[in-house]
Amino acid sequence: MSNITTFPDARVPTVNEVRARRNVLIQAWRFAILNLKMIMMVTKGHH
Amino acid sequence: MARTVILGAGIAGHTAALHLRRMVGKEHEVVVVAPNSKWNWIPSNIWVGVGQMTVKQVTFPLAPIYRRKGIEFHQALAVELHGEGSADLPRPHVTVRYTDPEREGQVAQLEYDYLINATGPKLNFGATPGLGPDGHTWSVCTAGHATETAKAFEDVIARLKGGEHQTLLIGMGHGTCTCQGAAFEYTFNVEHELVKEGVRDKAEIIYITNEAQLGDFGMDGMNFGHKGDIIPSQMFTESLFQERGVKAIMSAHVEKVEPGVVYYEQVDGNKGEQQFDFAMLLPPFRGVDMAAFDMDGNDVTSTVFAPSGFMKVDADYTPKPYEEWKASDWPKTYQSVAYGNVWAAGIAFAPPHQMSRPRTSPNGTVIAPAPPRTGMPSGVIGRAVAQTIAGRIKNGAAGKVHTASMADMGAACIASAGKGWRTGQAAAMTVFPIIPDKEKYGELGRDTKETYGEIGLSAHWMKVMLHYLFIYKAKARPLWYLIPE
Repeated sequence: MSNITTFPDARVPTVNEVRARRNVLIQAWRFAILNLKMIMMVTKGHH
Repeated sequence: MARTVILGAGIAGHTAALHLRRMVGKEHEVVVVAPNSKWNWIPSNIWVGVGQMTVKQVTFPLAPIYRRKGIEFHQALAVELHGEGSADLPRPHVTVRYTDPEREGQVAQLEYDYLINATGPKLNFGATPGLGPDGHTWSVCTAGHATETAKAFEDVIARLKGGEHQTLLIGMGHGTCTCQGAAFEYTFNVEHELVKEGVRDKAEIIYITNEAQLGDFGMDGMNFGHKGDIIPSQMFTESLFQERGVKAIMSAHVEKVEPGVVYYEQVDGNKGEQQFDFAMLLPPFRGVDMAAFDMDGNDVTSTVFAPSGFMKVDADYTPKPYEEWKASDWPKTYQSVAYGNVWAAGIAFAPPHQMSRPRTSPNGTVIAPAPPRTGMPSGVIGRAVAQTIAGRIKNGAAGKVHTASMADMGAACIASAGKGWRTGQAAAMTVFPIIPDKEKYGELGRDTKETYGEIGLSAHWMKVMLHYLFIYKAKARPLWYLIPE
């Protein structure tokens, strides 16, 4: 017997969202933001 | 002169050793005992397991680093802890058995003034019959395992190219596993490679997990703040599964593995079996098998270590129902309950309880993801313990006690979903605090401004950057200590 689950109701990204996830310029900007977020996280978590 | 012995050279032990060496004078000894000769940046084993990196890229020999830094290194396995000393050696000491080729099997006693237990986990493949590289499934837990797995995966691709259909099963090999993030990463790296090779349509990928929902990650899930909305990690993760066409077997405990088939039980008591052509299933962790003895030679292992084999520290281990769990149950200083000069850092400390709600099937099978404490928390704890010891060495009992509670600490997780400078993808997730604190942050238990998730190429670049950054740091290159844990 198999009990495999699929996720047909899950929201999948739109075409534009997929493009944005791969766009080098947008992602370079997100990379900078991510770095800032990580630095803030590290600063807050290190005593 | 003080002598600190550190058991283990993973993220916690190696971080503690480098920081302690930096913080105390050369007249004080820092000694590392580790069974492996090489340091391994384990997060990148995922890429070794799909043939995108080599063992050499994720490991390096420890001995030259320790020689350069003035740290004494013993390639050995700690087998006994004598925290009060023993009749023949009154100072506290550990008994070690050497694993390096020149002294293999020899036993020695190493005395200490301070001890850090950073032994990490024992990969408990034996908990599930047939699990692991000696059985019928593959693993990416070590660089060696990942290399073998990559060869098996290469064979799968060859068969797919030959027109065969293949079922790939990836996930957790037991109901009490942790590190769901690693299995998640491997799943999507495999999927990415199959797409690259043009054979995705012939392969079925199934993720098998002990999580009650996708995105639980052994942390009871997360709620990401996003433009004023809250996005549960379940929604975030299910979206990726649907987008990439990956199916799942949820809330499952793998009972046994036979060639080409796993037998599992789900939390509702249903039993099932799943055929596979290739399976990468992670093992559950337990503490390394170190025994503890008092001065008279009596076995005090159950006083020093929890039944899981992890060391008991300053946590509240009182058994209580899930609803009564508190963030304050979690340890702060990581000092042993039995000895004032012993600490456990990283995976080696016994957590007071899980983060995810533990579940039991009608047949009594426990399906409860263990709490993750790898990576960033391991490093932060390792450094805090090293700071505490340095304070003790310099100022005696008046030395400052440093704390690193996972209830006050955030963590970042970059889960790769495929490698490639232009085609790579990863999910970047931050969580604050790691341990949910409903008293402080309300029902969601975490700060939703600091708890955040994003998928994209930028997260993949970050994963690559962290790979090089942490290897640089672990090699103790110039200004390494400026790189945070």
